[in-house]
Amino acid sequence: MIRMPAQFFRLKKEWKSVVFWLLAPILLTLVVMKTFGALQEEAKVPIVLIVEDSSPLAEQLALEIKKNDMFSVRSMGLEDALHKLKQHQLDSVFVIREGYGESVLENRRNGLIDAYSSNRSFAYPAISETVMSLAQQDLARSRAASVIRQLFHEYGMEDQWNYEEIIGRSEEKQKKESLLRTSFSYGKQTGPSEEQPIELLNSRAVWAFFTIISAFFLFDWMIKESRPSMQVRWLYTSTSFKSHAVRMLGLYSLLTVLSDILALFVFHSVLEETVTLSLILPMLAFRVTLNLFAFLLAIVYRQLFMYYMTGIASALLLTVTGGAVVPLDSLSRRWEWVEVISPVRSLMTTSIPVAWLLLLLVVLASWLMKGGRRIA
Amino acid sequence: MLEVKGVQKRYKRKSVLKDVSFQMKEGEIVGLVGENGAGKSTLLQILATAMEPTAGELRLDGKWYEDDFKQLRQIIGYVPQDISVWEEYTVEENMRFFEKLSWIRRSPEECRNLCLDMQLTQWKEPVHSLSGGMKRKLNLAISLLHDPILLLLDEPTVGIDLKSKTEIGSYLLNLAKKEGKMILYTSHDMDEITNVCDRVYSIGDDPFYPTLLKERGIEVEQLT
Repeated sequence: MIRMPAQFFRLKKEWKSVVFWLLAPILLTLVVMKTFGALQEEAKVPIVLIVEDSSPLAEQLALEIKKNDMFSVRSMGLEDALHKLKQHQLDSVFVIREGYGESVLENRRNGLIDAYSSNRSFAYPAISETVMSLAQQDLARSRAASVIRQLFHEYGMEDQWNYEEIIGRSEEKQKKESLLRTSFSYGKQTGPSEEQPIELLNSRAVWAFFTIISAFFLFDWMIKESRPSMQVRWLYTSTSFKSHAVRMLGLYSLLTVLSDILALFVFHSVLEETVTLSLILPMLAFRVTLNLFAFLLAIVYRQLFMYYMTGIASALLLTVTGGAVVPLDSLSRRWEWVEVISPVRSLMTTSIPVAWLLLLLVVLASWLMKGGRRIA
Repeated sequence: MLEVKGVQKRYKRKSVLKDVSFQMKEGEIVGLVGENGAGKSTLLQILATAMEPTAGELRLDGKWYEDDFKQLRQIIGYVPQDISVWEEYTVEENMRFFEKLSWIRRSPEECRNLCLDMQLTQWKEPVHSLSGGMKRKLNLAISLLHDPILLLLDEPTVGIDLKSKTEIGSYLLNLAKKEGKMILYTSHDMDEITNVCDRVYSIGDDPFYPTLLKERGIEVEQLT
């Protein structure tokens, strides 16, 4: 018969609470990210786009409009759309009219798109400007293509480009040399970096915040097991309290690592996060750092309430100083130590929090080595 | 056999134990009486290896405390005055938890029988729901899991009802007389001391307890 080690007793007793605190960061991160995503969707301007023309140019324009992050583009019939507009459920309605593609190719500019707005269409000027600029783009390309083809014809050149080739080349050029581009230049970089979309809420930062809090609730066993009235018992056991505590640390660390693997899987499946080896190692290092931090702080505390409060305060402090709320790029360029101030920073930049790990391991080693012969 | 010779304990300028010497044999129950602060708990903690004496020699079962205190812990059972049990665990879980950490393997049945021997029957009950008497019995049962030859009890029956006191007293008598364990026992209850102990030591300068016990016909030896 396999004997259950003493370290499993508390786990067996408190398994519901342990499972809750292991899964809470994953679930809360999903809730926060999904809620935030829904709120972002709500904040988009609702418009209706009706495409009457079936030409590739009309389809391309519709696609460009739908790609815009500021609009929530819906499709419905004109009658329904106008009814909703009258009820102020829509900001505006746009109709790409029959013959749009033909008109663009023939460089006719009149009556390409119909637009409808109401007295409460607050975003209408901006939206109509955007739609117009996209249509103007098509017209300009078409005009350029016809001029180029005319020039080929006039100069009698053999190597003639067709219309699609010219349009394709124009789009390629536009992508390569963006008209409006936001570039960041870091201290040690010679050229501008790749343009990155600015995320308002990072799932890793949200997960880190909840994980710090949950770590304190998971490691409260250390305060429960080290209560002063029980210390005398450990004199008459084959295992010292410190070895027991280190074994418990190992057991709970294993459980937290398993929950982290589950977190990666869930975030990949639900939030479509990319999971790479370069993320797994920093995440593991972050977890070890966090567990050691919660464990070592539990040695100092006697009251559970104060320990939990410290956990919540630490979560706030480490998340903020880790750059999860306010970007720290400008600060870290000026003072490099900002990079090591929080292990959350390491998680955000997918690096190992070496300074934190070393410091905590030294404290753990000194705690293990410290201790007199007797307890009193 | 337990031999205590010239044990002293000082806390900065205050001398708690001046020169304590005595001996105990297998199968003896010895009572230790004295007013609060006289040094009873200090002496028990020194004997339990939980505290180092300032001076003096101690030997148990032929082993010197100074050299072998870790090995000696395997044959010493200490029942502290505070109840040292997991309140959130059941009686069974407490017994099995400490059994797993003990030097001696015991089956769940053996653990249960240890509790039943002292009339602790609420095996599956959480400790926080037990009466003070039952908690005290569990406190004692855990200390006996590794089958010690010397049992040190610091006011083990304080604050409990007469029935539980009597049950604990009978159990201790049984342990000493049938299993040959040495038991050193502190208490303020003179009835208990009279009924259970073979010999009594008094500690401290106050003649109150020695006088009280002499009136009951019990000889008291003075420790300093």
